[in-house]
Amino acid sequence: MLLEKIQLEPNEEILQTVRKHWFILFSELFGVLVMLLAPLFVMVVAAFIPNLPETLNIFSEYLVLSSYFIIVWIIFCLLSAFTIWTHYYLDLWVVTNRRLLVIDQIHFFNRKVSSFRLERLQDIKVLISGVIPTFLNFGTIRAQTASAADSAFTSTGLPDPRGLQAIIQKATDERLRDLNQPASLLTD
Amino acid sequence: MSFMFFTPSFDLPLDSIVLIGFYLVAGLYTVFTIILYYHWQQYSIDDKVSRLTYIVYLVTTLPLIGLLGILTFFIN
Repeated sequence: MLLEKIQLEPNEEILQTVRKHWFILFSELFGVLVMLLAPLFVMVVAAFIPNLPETLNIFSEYLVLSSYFIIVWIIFCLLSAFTIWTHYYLDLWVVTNRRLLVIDQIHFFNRKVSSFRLERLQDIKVLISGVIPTFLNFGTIRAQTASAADSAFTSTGLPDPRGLQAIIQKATDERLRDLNQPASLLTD
Repeated sequence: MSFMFFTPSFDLPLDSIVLIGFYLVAGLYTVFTIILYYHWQQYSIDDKVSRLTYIVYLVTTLPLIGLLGILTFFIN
């Protein structure tokens, strides 16, 4: 399991784990559903066109063969749906009281895991653009760090981005406060 | 000097195409299943969700592969 592999430091706690908004998953799966129903749609349209009796004959004469191809089509649609679900579920933001972990499952065998310490966070931006994101409260978060290379972490379609921004900001403030305290106070 | 160009032609019967198609789909399905299992085993953070995904995946796809095999048998 992934969280067992992430070595948490002493006193490090996971504050929140965030996945993309359900609407992102829904919209992608809806596309697959449309593709899944495409053969049925073609057959229904063919049945209602009066000048295409040959098409209907093809479907009825080669029933076993057309069933074969429809099943192949359904299998591929289902595999696409499970690919979408896997990418959705394995895409993750983990906010701890020390770090921010951004796991981006781009494709199978293409996975980007980025981590930065909260004290290096310079700026965190939220972008909610469009009617549906505004009503359903999801958007893009862009976290900028003080690192020289690849210093921005961007993720789209995150639910309640302002809430997440507030959690990260609060954790950052607390972390900076802890780091600025004298060592004698921390041990008390 | 004259050259003769031939376009090789061969007939592949439909039942052979169906059989090859079945083997291809079954092979792709097996590879995909291994990849899917690997990813969920390695990167999931919740055992329950992983188990549920395996069950739903097998329940929805395995009967279709079986049905495809039966149809292939009928066509052949």
